[in-house]
Amino acid sequence: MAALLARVGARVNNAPEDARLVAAVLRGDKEAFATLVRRYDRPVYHLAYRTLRDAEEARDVAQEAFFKAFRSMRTFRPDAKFSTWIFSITYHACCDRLNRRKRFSVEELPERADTAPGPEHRVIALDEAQRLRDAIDALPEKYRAVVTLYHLQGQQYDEIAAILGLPMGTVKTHLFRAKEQLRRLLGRSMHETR
Amino acid sequence: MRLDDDSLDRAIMALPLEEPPPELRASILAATAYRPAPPFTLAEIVAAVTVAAIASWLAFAMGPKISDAVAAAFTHLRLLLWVAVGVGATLWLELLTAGRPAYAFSRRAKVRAKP
Repeated sequence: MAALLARVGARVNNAPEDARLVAAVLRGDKEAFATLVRRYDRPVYHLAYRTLRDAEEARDVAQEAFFKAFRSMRTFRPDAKFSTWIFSITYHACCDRLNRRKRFSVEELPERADTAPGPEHRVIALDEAQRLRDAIDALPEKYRAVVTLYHLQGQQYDEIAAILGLPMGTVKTHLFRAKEQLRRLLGRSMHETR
Repeated sequence: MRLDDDSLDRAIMALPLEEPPPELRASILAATAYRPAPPFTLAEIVAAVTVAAIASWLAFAMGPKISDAVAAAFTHLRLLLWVAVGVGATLWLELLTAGRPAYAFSRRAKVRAKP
């Protein structure tokens, strides 16, 4: 398990290399920014897609996040991690879109999984990864974000807390409750498929 | 799927990342790192505006002769016609090049855009 977590952590944990690339971008090296884009476009899109559950919007948010990062690179604190920064920009762009959605429709409700029939009813006899993905989709937005970042960042709770702008204790509580709900949803789906 | 804490953790960590649309990376790079340089630098614009301002100032400061001649020129129908043709041609070229000045296609612009 520790090896798996380390491997997942390494997926986005390139801090020293990222710091070097950021310094190069600040010196005017545009190819360094291209390297950062190549390294993070997939996790950024993943975070946006899992938060918004809409491919088109996720694509727009990913573009917007990198554009904002490129324009405000000079405001990037050298002691921070690029991954935390870009995920934070992405997450806040997602929140803006979710808030806009809530204003114009009743589609996204934070406690949807608790109150109304939602995507959990789509959780049918699919492969395990798909069932888990559907179960994550059925989580309320705040839990979904924590689980998605846990997936991206591994057990770096301080980084997840910095991205979401929440205390670390709250992140741990959300993750604990998210896992409880996932277990419940997955248990139900397994029961339904029998 | 087993539902104990370790198995759930392992299942979450093993989830593959979503596959982004194929053109996403190219469009991000086109809007950021590989964005073409603007056709004129700020210094070039400042220099052009300064030259234009000095020329105007000289034209009007050198006496009523020049300003009268300029004002009189604009009363000629043929001159106004040529001005209209020029403005029309400029607008047409602007539409034809989709708002990008011809300079943007030049070799110099490409060299500048290179990282």
